[in-house]
Amino acid sequence: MSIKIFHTSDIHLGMKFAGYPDKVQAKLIEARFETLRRLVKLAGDSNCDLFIVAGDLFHKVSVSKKDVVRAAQILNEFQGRAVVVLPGNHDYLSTGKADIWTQFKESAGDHVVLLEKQDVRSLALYDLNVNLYPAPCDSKLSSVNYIGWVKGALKDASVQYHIGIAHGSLEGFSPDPERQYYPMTVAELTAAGIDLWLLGHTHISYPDKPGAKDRIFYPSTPEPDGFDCDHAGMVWILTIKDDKSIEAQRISTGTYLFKHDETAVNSTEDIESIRQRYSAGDVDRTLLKLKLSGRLPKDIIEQLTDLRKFLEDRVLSLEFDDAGVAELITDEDINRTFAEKSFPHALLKKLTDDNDQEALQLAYDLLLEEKQ
Amino acid sequence: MIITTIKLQPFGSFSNKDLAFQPGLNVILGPNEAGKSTLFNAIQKVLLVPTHLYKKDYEREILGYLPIGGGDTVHIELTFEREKKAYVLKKTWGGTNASHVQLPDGSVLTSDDAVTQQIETLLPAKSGTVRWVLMTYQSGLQKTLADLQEEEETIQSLGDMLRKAVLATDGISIEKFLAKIEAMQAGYFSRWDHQKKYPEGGRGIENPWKKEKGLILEAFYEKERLRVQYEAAAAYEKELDALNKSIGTLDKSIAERKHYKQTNSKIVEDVKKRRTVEAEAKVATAEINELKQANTAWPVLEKEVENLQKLLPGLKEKVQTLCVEKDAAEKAEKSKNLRERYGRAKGKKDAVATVEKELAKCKKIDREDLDLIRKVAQGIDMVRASLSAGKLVVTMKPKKNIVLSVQSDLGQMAERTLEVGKDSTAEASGRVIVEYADLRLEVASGEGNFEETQKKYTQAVQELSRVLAQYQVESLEQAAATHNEYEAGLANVRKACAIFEEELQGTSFEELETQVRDIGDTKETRPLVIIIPELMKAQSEIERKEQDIVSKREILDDYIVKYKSKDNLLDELLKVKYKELEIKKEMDSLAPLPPEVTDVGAYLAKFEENLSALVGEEEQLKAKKLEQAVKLEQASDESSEELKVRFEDSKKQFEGTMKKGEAIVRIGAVAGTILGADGADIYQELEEDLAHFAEVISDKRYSKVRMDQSMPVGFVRSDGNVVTYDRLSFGTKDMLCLALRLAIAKHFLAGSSGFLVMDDPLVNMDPARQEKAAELMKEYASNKQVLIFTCHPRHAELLGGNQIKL
Repeated sequence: MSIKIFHTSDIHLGMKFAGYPDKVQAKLIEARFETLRRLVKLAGDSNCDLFIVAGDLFHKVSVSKKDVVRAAQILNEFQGRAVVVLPGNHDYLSTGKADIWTQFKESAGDHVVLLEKQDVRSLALYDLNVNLYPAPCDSKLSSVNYIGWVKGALKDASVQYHIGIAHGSLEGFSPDPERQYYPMTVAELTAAGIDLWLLGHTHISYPDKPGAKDRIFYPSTPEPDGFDCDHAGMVWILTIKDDKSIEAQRISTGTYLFKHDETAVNSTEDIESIRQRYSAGDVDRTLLKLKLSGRLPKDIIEQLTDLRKFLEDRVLSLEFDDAGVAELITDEDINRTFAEKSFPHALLKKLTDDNDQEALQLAYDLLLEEKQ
Repeated sequence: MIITTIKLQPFGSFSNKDLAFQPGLNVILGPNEAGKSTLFNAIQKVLLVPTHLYKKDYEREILGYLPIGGGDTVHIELTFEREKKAYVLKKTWGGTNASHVQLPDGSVLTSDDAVTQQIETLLPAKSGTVRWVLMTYQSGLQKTLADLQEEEETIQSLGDMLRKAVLATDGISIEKFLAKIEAMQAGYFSRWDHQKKYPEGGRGIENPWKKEKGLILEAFYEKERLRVQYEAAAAYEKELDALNKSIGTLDKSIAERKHYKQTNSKIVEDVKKRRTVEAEAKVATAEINELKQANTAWPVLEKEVENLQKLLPGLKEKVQTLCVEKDAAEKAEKSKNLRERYGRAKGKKDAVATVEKELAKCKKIDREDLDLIRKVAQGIDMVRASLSAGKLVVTMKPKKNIVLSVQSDLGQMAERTLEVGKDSTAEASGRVIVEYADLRLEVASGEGNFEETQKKYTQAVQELSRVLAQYQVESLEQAAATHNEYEAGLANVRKACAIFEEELQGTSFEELETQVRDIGDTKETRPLVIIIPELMKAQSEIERKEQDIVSKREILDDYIVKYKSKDNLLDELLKVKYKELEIKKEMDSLAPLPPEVTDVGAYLAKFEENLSALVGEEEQLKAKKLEQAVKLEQASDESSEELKVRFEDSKKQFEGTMKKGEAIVRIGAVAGTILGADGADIYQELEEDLAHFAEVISDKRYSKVRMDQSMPVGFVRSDGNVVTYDRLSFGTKDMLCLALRLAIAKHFLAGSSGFLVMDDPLVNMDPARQEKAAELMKEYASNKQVLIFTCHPRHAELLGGNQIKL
């Protein structure tokens, strides 16, 4: 009998979004809970048997008790067989004040399973012929992963599906130059001898184009959390069949989009193109960091002010950086604007000859300002 | 470029106006509000302003010239010649925008850009120059002059004005510009050490500047602040990880220790109990053994004591007998010894008699006798010695062989044969006598009396002979030998006497003889060496048996004290046996030791160690949890990953700010180079032209300009005195301004017939200077088109040229 799994991770509930404008901060914080609620509903509506969070349900171990209770309550709403939660490297297992999971367990329903041990976890209780092989995190950083035990673990042949759940970076895919996020390799995961690995940590969906034989999955975050996450939220709905083949369905989720747009503008067409890009769609739920570069004639450069206004009226939040756009200043401009042999003319000519665009732009603006 | 006609249809106050201009001087005369300014602007707009304008530019350039009578469009048509070829330029702004230029070959350009580009190639100078130098209206000099009059720092303003005229001319104050660049540099670099690429004074984020912070410094501090925050967050997370790990380890260890405590507590308790019970069992066993032993020993001991007591009388009798035998044996031994001693003494007594007999045989020459003989012999030696003081040698030289007699000293006269040729000598101490034939020759030395000496000698010899005879010896040597024999005999006698005395041991030989006689007969006994050991053995056996009895009785006494009776003892034994059984039962009920435990002591020590480690770890855990709570309180809202992103952004921001600051520095540097080098030549050229034009207008009153580096500070009068600018009259200042204008225009129109537009240049001069100035203008217009606007008919008259009335 095949089973259907809703695979998500990195929801980072309780993330504060410091440094963002006040007006959007509260929205971003709230959006993560709302997204979780939608995921739970979507999973139920899609007849998923399992709802699996492969780490980082919470952003920190210092997340408030209120947020923990709220998360548990949302997960309790899942209509399938069981919810499985793995502590990740942001919400790692701990004791004392850093222990968020005791509270979570108290608030979570009977069909919410918290994976706290590196041990085979049977889901027979939930009428699922599945054994889980979890690698819960117990710290923020670790130069070694915790999946090593899975290879040597006894695989009960009477159980149909053997599924590993881990959180950390994957060599060759995840950015982890210092190898401090429980680094794993495809070879290690493959050697573990199980049917499927559901991973979390990297906010990019993996594999890009899944095939029936793919065994390792990252869902990405379901709700983008910063400009380094320049795409929509994603989750997987994975169906594992009797022959162990996987049918993977990538679902776009999330409320907000973070767009880091670095664009060259050298003509009115370019400006218009930006305008077009942010005229429709989810633009009102987009946080845009627009960094412009290029060279524009004086009359056109003024259009950037209008562009800024246009974008401000449309996107949720705008960081507009046009410092990289220089005024296109030609010899004709200089000749037309300043008397030949005059000081401004000589200055601008020299800067043009030196091809010092930055200084030329600045000097030109200053001289014009002074003249007017 | 020579402007030939202009048509305004409409433009500003003109609804339809045509005007024609000539090459050379054109004077446009009209009262105030007649439209001079409109005409000036119309010429400027048609030549320099494109028809496609952004709203802002349109408002600035055109809006003010929409027809007063109504309508939204202005139109200007300008004709001009260049190198004798005619061009027609038309521009329309407002409701419709259109540019149009008809070229000498009849072709027409209508694109605004194309028209603009075409016109720029035909203008007498670059468009900027035309706008700001050649077509200055109601701005330039008079306005600058007005500013100048209000300024206190005259020289600086004049310098600025001059620079403006020469290098800028379009309203830009280089001084202001430079000041602005400097201010911007300060704005960027304030408190920033460009060399060290660090805040001045090494004041990093830990000790930041609070005031006068430049943009770079602020960006730097922001970057540093985020770096510190990021590093702190990363360190915090690592520390928290470590703390959580140690809490986890402690939790695990405590759980293990608790489990160990729980599983081992009962065993440990029983182990301790077993130790006590085992000790009790040992005591009981010992007691049983003791009772059993007493029970067996009691009757045996009683029997033994009885037997011993029976043996004692026989033994005592035996000792008595042996004592008697011992006394008899001792007496016999003593008698035997006395007899042996007497025998030895008798022998020694005989030895003394033998040596005394030997001594009696010797001549008696004792020590004193020998000394006497020696003394006499020494008298002879002394006489001989008295001769030995002198030395006498008699040499005899015979003339023929002879025999003669010679006596030396006390020697005998002796014959000596002398041969011819051989000397013979006789040596003596005191006297030599030589007798030959009838001659007796006596040779004596010194003053001594040899005869006397010889007499003493003879007496001494006789004395010696007498003494030797007395002791019946031949010589002194024989006397000495006899003496030795006598002494040896005497010594033997003494030695024998001494041995005899020693044997007697203080008693006399006679007493000893008496004692021996008194012994009488003695009995035969066993030797003492047999009797004494036998006696001692018997005595010691008695002693031993008596001690044995005492010690056995002591034990029996103890038994009685301890157990009262033999029956009681049996009762006691039964009781202890029962107790021993009870103890064994208890031992069997205790929990067994785990099979792996071989060393109970080590096992108990390990348990205690675990207990104390548990207490210690629980305390540690408490402290760690407290530390964790404090640490979690300190948690920032942002994770290290979030802060890293912000830190990277701030780095870019800092680099951008730095780049901009550096661009400003480069602008300043380029400006400095231009003003320092290129500017100098321009000032030089200008100074010459300025001096020339001033000389003409002032009718040679001012022929030199005093420059201070690039700044004119005033005029040098013909008498050589310098009149500084602030002391110049209003008219002279205006004169200077006109001279400056012409100098500047000359500079830009060199080699061109192009036009210069001026606005009432003579207005503030006195009539004489107006005339001179007018002449200068006329001269200037001889090869250039000059358009002068004035509202003064007198000025128009002075200037002449093509007069156009508005």
